[in-house]
Amino acid sequence: MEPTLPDRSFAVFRATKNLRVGDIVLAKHPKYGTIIKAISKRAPDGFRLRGTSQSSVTEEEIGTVSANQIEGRLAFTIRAKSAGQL
Amino acid sequence: MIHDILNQLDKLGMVDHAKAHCDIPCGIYDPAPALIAAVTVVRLMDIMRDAKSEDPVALANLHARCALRKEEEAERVKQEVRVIWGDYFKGPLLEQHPEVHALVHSIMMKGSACKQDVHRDDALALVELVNQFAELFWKTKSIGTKRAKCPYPPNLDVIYPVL
Repeated sequence: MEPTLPDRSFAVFRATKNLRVGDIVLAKHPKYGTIIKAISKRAPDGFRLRGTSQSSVTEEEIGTVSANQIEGRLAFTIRAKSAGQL
Repeated sequence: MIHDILNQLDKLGMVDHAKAHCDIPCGIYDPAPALIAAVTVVRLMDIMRDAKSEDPVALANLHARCALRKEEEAERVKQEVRVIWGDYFKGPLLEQHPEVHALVHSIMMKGSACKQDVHRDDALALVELVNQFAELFWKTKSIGTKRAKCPYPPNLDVIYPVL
């Protein structure tokens, strides 16, 4: 999720079913495990997710994620220090 | 400071981990190593077939070395092609070129055949399959290709990008 969420950042999620396009969510994915992605659009049986980094797996690879697989919406983050801050 | 505290909690196993980055693609893909390895398989079979020596031990040694290298080069073909297929071909590219799956599978099968035996026809077929794979790869980048004889034995036709 670079540059949205630098590696080794901490993220706090709020459990909610009130999800909208653009929300950054924590999801349990059968292939990729516990992932943090943004909701790109609603699908008939859930949501489509995408990363904000060029290096992310694609929306097609992630596939549709059901509402039950989404654990929560990002509340706030404590970003990791960049190399320049260390 | 808060980050440092959370780091300490993390070290105590009190923080769940999630992946926000699923891969680190460097974006550097080129079928050239696969082609060189495929041509090398042909060359090694030729060396094995043409080898002559009055010393049977020396001949056995040469055959053993060539067989080992042939095994490695055929595996290299498979590995290089697998990486491009798995990491480069995805999403819309796969929709546009669904034939890549059968082609890659054929390369896997032919690569294994080249490891198992010393049939030159199998090695030539492997080169041709990787040529087709290289043509397809460069096509996805809208880069033209040409077939030319590689300037070293076994002087086979291989695909080069026209840059």
